Amino acid sequence: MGRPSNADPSPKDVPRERCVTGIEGLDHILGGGIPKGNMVLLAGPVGTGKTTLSLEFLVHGAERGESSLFLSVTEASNKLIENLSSFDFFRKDLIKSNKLVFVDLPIMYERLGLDHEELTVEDIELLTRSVLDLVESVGADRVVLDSLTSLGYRIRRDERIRDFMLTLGQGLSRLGTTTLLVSEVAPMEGRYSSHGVEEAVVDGIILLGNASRQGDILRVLQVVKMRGTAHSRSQYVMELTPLGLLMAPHLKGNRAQGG
Amino acid sequence: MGAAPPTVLGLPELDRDLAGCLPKSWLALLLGHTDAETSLLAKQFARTGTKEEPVIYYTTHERTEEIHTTIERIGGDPDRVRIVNLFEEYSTTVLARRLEISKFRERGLTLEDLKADTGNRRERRSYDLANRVLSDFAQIEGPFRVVFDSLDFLLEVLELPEVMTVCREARHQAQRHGGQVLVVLHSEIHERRVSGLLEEMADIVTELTTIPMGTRFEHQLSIRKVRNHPEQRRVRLLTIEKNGFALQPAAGA
Repeated sequence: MGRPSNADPSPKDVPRERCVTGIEGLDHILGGGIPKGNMVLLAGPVGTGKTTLSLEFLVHGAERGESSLFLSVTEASNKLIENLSSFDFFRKDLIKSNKLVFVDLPIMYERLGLDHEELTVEDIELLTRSVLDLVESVGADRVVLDSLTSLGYRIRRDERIRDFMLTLGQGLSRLGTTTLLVSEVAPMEGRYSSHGVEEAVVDGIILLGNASRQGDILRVLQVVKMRGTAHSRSQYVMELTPLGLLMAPHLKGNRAQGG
Repeated sequence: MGAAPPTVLGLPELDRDLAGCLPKSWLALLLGHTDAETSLLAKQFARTGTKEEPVIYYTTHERTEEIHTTIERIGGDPDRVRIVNLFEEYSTTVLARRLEISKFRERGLTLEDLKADTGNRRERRSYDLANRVLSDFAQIEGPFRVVFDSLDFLLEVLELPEVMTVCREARHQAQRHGGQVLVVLHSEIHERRVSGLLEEMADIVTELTTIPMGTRFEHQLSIRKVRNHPEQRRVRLLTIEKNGFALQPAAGA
């Protein structure tokens, strides 16, 4: 695939330990993987492969012996696992061995009695603490929250979302956990999150979108920001195959539709 | 129809007293201090249920078996009384859930707690006390008798307008299908406004009082209101017999 182009020239920090995503092409774009402990926003419109990329990220981690935790806000875990079974990269034994753990956040809401339609400050504190306790008890090296947008519907206020993310981010970083926060954005919105505060708090932004080429709609990926590493900011075509995600450079001149 | 005549508080003598003054359907409010044995009087009313007029007995502070035994002891047929233990229902749903939530909040969640029903989520029973009772009323299709012993608990967990809705609906159903409703309220534990609103709604208002008289207690039943019959207001003395309270003959009778 060649060396990453448009490398972010700024960082000259001490090389940080990487969380190898295992996704063909993405680690190359990132110069070896996501810097360990980063909290990354994985943004994109519906159908661009956010959940699949997240799941693959976790499965590869679990295969490497890292504990991986998927926090599902909207979709039931059993349904996700069923969908995941159609990919060759998935191994059910990872779930049995608790290397790959799925938790439905609505169950957490229910257990904690978080019944308010809009979560209060106390509710948010309790939720954050519970998530961090869970991450610590599982010993999760990788976490995916799918999606931050859905959770945001219950947090609602910008300042509370920012506080939630800051506290969560600090806690996860302290635990050395690398996190993907899935963010649903409308096509052509030109932003990375529904509230607009999320992108300022995270360490990285990976943007997924659609691009049209000769009548086809292609899935594309772009690393917009990633603290702690030089990376390409080019757009890559992303293909969803039974083997997982595959990436190839996107030829210039095509029109991007998302993000 | 073969139904028993209206029986105010299960005291046949009182029925004779009030003959011709009572509508076919009514809601009676029985007030009393917590030591006045209002529950016994409520059960006397409940034991008058017949095949044609089933009785629903809502209890909020007694065990179902206790009510069963007491109705039997005072000569009633407990199988003719459907006992609905609202407090027990409330405890096994709302209070049990609160306890569980407190436990999880206090000690934190483990993965096992969260995975317990993953993929097969246990259905949580939500419990709405007002709807619980109203849904019973919606199923009534003929003459009936209802006892609320007592309204105190409903007033503790529901807002006053909700409690008033339950009572109004009970009265409405009574008027619609021909029924009698007895509501027990321990007035001293509520604001005057609460008993005032209920007294206004009720067709009959009675109050049971126990007064210490030397080495014994005197039980008084005040008939404070019989709608459109102010001449029926009076205070009667009660005695306690094998089958519960009985009316003492009025002076000069």
